[in-house]
Amino acid sequence: MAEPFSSDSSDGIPVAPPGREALDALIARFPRQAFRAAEVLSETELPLYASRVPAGFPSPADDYLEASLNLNDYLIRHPESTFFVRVSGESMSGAGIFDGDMLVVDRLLRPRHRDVVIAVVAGELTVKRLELRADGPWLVPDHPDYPALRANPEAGFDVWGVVTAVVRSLRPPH
Amino acid sequence: MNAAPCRADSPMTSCFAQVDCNNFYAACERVFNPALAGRPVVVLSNNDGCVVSRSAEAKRLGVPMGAPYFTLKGQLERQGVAVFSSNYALYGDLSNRAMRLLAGYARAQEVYSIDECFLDLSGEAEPLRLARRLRDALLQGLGLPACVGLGPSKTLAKLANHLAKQEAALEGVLDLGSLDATALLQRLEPVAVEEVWGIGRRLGERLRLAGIGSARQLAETERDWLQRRFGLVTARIADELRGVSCLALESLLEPRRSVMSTRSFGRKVTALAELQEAAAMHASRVAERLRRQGSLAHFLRVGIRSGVPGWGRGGDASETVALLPPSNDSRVLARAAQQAVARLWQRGVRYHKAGVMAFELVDAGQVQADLFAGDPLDAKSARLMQAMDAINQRMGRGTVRLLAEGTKQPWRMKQDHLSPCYTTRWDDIPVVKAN
Repeated sequence: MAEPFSSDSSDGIPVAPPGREALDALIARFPRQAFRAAEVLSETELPLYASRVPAGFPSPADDYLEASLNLNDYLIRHPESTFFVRVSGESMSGAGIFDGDMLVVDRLLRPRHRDVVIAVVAGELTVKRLELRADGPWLVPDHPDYPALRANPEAGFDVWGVVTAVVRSLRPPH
Repeated sequence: MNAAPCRADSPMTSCFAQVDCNNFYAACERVFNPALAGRPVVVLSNNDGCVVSRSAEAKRLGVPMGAPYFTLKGQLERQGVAVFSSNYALYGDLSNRAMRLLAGYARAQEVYSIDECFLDLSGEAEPLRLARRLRDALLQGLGLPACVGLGPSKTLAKLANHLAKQEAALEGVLDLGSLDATALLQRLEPVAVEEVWGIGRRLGERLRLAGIGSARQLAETERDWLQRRFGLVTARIADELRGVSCLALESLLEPRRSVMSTRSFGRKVTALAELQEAAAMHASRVAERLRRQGSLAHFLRVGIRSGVPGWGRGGDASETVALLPPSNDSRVLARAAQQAVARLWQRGVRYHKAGVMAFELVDAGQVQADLFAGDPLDAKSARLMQAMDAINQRMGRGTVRLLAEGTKQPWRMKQDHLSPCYTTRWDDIPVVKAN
């Protein structure tokens, strides 16, 4: 084979035919030195600038650079154990939680009295307020039409996670 | 494996933890679906082929691991077993969360597989107590039950985990490091030598022929003899069983040196067009992964497989394609893969698998304009790929894809029992009732 690499100009993807020889030939032709030089270069520390100016003056704010505010950092304490869930129903409207809202739920937090929690009731995830009363834990909705529920561990009750925030888009992006 | 010589006189007693989630895939399915609590659950392999994970209840029912699903279907239905296709988006995300959660408690971590890791707890005053906390954190924070084994070597930590899984009284945690030499040997006595990490069935058979059938016997075998007869690796395993740490944690911080995507088809494929669609899809997936880790690939290996291996007519055909300049553009990789498949394909052959692997990877930031092949960092292409990744990340994988990957994808693998991607797609997040 005279030319081991056919460069298909119609689509710009050069293709090497199969075969060990072709591969070795190709590897040999690599501009390895160029890569090595690039690696060495990257080992020297370069200052990080916020503004990329090929010419002209660097931004005077570069010395005061801080990270932008991140909503995740604000809303989420334990990223590993935090999940998002969608609300279906109106029984928590008194707590400002409406149908279609998204809730931020942290499973690592220990539930406390009056926390809004995601609880497992009869094999379903439900959102309720947890009340630790003298006669035991209760799951209490925040709406006059819905009854409070005694949280009975024998009936499969369990706190799945503690709700830490409500996310409601006023102009949903999609 | 680490080549450093073993040191019995290390300045600080080493303490390793091995954390392993119980029936991980089945457990993941339960996290967002509490109705599955107490119900037998099984997860099937790719293509809904065979059982790869069973909940404790399914094990008790006698559902065999690795059994083909079609032979079990009727039985599983009668027994009320919940059946799931493997949902790797879900398992992968929960695995990442679990690993990050555990890493926060340790000096160092080695992620060993999707559901297990080693932690370095050396210097910890009360390792057993910490092990219980790790277990509680996984269960409470992620809903994943796990066992934790502790030991002065990785091999003993792994063995401790194995024992903790078997003995319910241990409540999922066992520390072999707290035992004196006699008590440790007693613990190793009933453990078959094949159960020891790194031994396996074939070496186990050879050891048995030499009269070494249990972990205890291996630990008690004279070291030099063991090394002469079975090699250094086996001698080290015996050292590890005696509590001498020879294997250090291996960090996987380096980006992968090759990236691969391969999958069996849902049915046999004979048409070249379908084979090319599959190759394009794998290539595009590989490109996506390359972009995620910031790499460009110099070479792409494209393979197709036909027949049943070992049945005579089965065979692999593969070809290596050079990418000049190196690329992570889905379109470039897909076209290269399609062209390779066109050369490999043979009329009348029934193919059941296709795959694409990228290797000789370089850091995208370090590649300079290739003198004889143009600019690899074509800005327009990079922007297009960025936009594609952003949309797919937001709306779910495959929302925007190459036409070359096909629209109907009749060859796609079967996933008839797939659960929602609860943690990786906005449309799939769990619904909670407010009623």
